[in-house]
Amino acid sequence: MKETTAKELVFFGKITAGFTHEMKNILAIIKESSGLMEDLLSLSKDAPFPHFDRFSHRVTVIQQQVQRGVELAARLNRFAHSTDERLARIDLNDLAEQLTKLSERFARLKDIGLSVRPAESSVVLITSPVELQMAVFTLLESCWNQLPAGSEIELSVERRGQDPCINICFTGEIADCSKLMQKIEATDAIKTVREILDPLGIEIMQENEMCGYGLAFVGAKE
Amino acid sequence: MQDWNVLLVDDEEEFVTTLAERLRLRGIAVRMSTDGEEALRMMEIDPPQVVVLDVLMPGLGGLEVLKRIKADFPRIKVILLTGQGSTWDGIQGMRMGVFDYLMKPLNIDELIEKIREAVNSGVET
Repeated sequence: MKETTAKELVFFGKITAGFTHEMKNILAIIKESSGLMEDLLSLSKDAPFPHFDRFSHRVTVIQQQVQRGVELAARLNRFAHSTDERLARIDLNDLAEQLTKLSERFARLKDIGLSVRPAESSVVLITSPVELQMAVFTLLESCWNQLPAGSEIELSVERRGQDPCINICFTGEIADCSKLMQKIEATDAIKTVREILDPLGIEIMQENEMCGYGLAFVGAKE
Repeated sequence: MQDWNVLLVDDEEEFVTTLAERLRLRGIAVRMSTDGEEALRMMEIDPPQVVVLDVLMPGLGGLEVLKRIKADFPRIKVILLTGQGSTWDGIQGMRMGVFDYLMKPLNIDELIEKIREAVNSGVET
């Protein structure tokens, strides 16, 4: 990665992380306010209040949406902080889960489901968090753009021998897996993925048996 | 009414006033401040048993307030409030001797439980 690009990313991450903190403060105020409304409602349970149930239901909706907002803000915060360091220790289980959550909305718009199967224990390595996330997201994007609607993509984490691995496996009504892989391979996106992964020492392999891709972190440092 | 003396310190006025009202509804005597310097002055006049302290505040930040509490009021227990995903602040606070840390937005029952533990930990038997 060029030095100027790296600096731009750090700047972008710093501003985004700062804003997520502010978002969390706002959500905390909404949460406490709705909590207070709930407290006051429970105090007035015996007093006549004609809209008690409707009011109570709306308070619950506010709290559910706050929780949703908190989770999104936490994800975005974590994503923004991934620009803090050029190289960092990454647990591939966490990375697969984080990427799935960040990508869910995009995949859902294509009617593609995403799921994660983590390894039983942590699979840790040192690499560039930003570049790795960008590569895996770009790969996922080029996959869901070619997959038939209703398909599923599973990210699984494992070790092949000593090497950490992420597998990206497709299931669904896929008539011909090799044709599908050809279509994915013909996109510019896949070239971009290879350009990002090569300098990181990550091999990308077509896995025709399981219909998907395998990313092997050959000789990765822990 | 709980016989506790709690001070909430957070620069977000709406947050701190609403949280204080919720705690009072649960019978907890609570004072509040939106400023670190003011909070330290309040501690001099009437030292609380527990301070619930936000990390990120303009002026005197939470960790600086914590340092002053540890130096001037070592018996006061501090519960630090950090943003979600900012566990670094919490860990830093633990190193500096906070009783515990919680992530914002809070779960009020969890906060009350932490305050209870903090108060009980300071009771000499």
